[in-house]
Amino acid sequence: MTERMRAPIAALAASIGLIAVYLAFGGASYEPADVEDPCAPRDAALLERRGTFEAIALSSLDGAACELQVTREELTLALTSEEATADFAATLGIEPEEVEQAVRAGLVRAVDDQAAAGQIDGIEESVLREVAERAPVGAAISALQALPGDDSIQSLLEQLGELGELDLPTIDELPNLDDLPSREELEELLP
Amino acid sequence: MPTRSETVRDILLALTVGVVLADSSIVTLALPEILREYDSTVVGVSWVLTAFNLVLALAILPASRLARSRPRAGWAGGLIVFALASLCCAVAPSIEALVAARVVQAAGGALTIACAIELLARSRGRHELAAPLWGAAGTIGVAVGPAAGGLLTELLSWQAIFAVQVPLLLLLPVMARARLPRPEPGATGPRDLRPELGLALLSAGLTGALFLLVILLTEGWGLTPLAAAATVSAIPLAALAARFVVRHAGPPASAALAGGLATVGGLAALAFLPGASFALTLQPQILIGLGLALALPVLTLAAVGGRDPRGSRAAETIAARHAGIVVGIVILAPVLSSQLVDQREAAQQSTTALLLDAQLPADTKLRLGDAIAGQIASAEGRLPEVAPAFAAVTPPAGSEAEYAKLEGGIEDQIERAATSAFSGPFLAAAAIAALALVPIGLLGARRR
Repeated sequence: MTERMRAPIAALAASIGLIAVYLAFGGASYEPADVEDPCAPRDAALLERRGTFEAIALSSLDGAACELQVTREELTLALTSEEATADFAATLGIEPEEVEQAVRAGLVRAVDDQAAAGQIDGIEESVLREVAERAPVGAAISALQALPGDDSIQSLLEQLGELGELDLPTIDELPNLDDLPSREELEELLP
Repeated sequence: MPTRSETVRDILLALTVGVVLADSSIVTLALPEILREYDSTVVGVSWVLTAFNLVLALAILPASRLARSRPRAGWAGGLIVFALASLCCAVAPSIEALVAARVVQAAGGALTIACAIELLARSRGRHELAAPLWGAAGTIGVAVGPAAGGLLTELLSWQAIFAVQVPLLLLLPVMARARLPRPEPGATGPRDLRPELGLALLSAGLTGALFLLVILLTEGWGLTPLAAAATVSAIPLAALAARFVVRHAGPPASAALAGGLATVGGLAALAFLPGASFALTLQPQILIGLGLALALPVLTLAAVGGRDPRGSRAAETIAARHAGIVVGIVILAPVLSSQLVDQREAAQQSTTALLLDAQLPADTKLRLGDAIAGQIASAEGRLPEVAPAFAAVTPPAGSEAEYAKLEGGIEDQIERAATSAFSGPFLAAAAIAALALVPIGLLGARRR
């Protein structure tokens, strides 16, 4: 090696060496965590480990996200506030009401699916259908996810009672929790 | 042989060059604070740097013509304008006023530098003999600027960066009595702009290193301005230490080529950081500092020592360097801004996915979601710290391991997304600096 080339070759070797070490230790390997396709069915075993109401909330998000052709996570972030929903709708070139309609439709379908699978009984189905059709969708999804794991009707009514826009029966109004009202009786209680 | 008083006078003149050139980068570590104070954007706040360097690059050539006829008056007038404009920067009520004050500051600074270089050349007899003094002062100023700015921002405020420059007016008596003859005319011969081109492109790379690194350290990894200042001090320290390497680097053209390669290599290595730790930035910074110490003096001397019958190439050299800085910021700021938005969205989706899919009770996840949202809001645009959000929520009994796994996963996603956002801009900076290898290589070929 000539004296003229010694320093440039040393600089080149040091640069390549440093980059190689960084690459070997994971440099430039960052990939965002996997975000599932909302239109593909979720792992059934995963959903079974969740509470019924959380599964309904997640299933509704999947359904609505699939319809809007976005990810479930994008939709979740869009439902955190009215401003976020408006920004999200503007990005998609649709009205905020269309986002709400999609989530509401997803929620109704999720309630239908859970009822058909026998995961919820008559009063739960009625209360949930009321929520799906009338409650503000972001608050409804949050309320369903916030339910503790016991999936009891007491928890459901306590949590949904936070949604002021709905006229749901309170726990005290239920005559006997061992003798829950039928769907027809509940429909009389609900507006 | 200069007398002791002449040496002190020359050092003080070089100091004014160093201080003015430090202003091209001194505000870098204060940019996040300025961005928040004026509710600006990355691109908007980058004009605090861009405006200064653009005006300096444009004004220094006409200033050098004035410097040849009235250097003492020009130096004093430039220094007064520079100091008063610094005061205006410190009290600017808006980002527009700050940028306007920076424009005036740069115009005064350009006159100060052009006249100081002319006075140094008169003092030393020739421009070629004065170049090492003002060249070293300028390089140290640009390299030390961010660290000095970070220190002042942390200890006092970003306004202090500008306020401390007002006492430069105390140097005015330095040239009150000096009577210096004109310097010897420079060599005649074919004009060669390759050194200036190399300087411009390497300066764009250096700006990339400093501008991007500072934002990565403060906004990406959440370091305080003081800690970030200490971290980016690695470049000037490496440049100082390189004095002991330069003598072993062979002929000047080989040293310049080695310096260019090391600068490009250091910038490229910053694009491949394997983790979010300041320690991992030190090795690339050392390469960059070493590279600049090898390349810049050779290129500056090649420019000033070439055909220069009117003594204007010193100003052209500075104009080239600062034009390079402007090009670097104008190209890199929008690239970084766009990457930050993309990576922020990717990180938000990733962390939301981790939270939704975590094997934790849903109410725990919702409380965590609220706590993390609170952290994001209180971060005011900076990278949020998730640890306080996790500390604020108690994990259910038996879920501690899953809880800790989720916290680790989210922290990893946020840090890696922030680091990844800078990969593209660092590679762009490396590509700009790599273009400098062409004129540097041709310079070596010509000299052989």
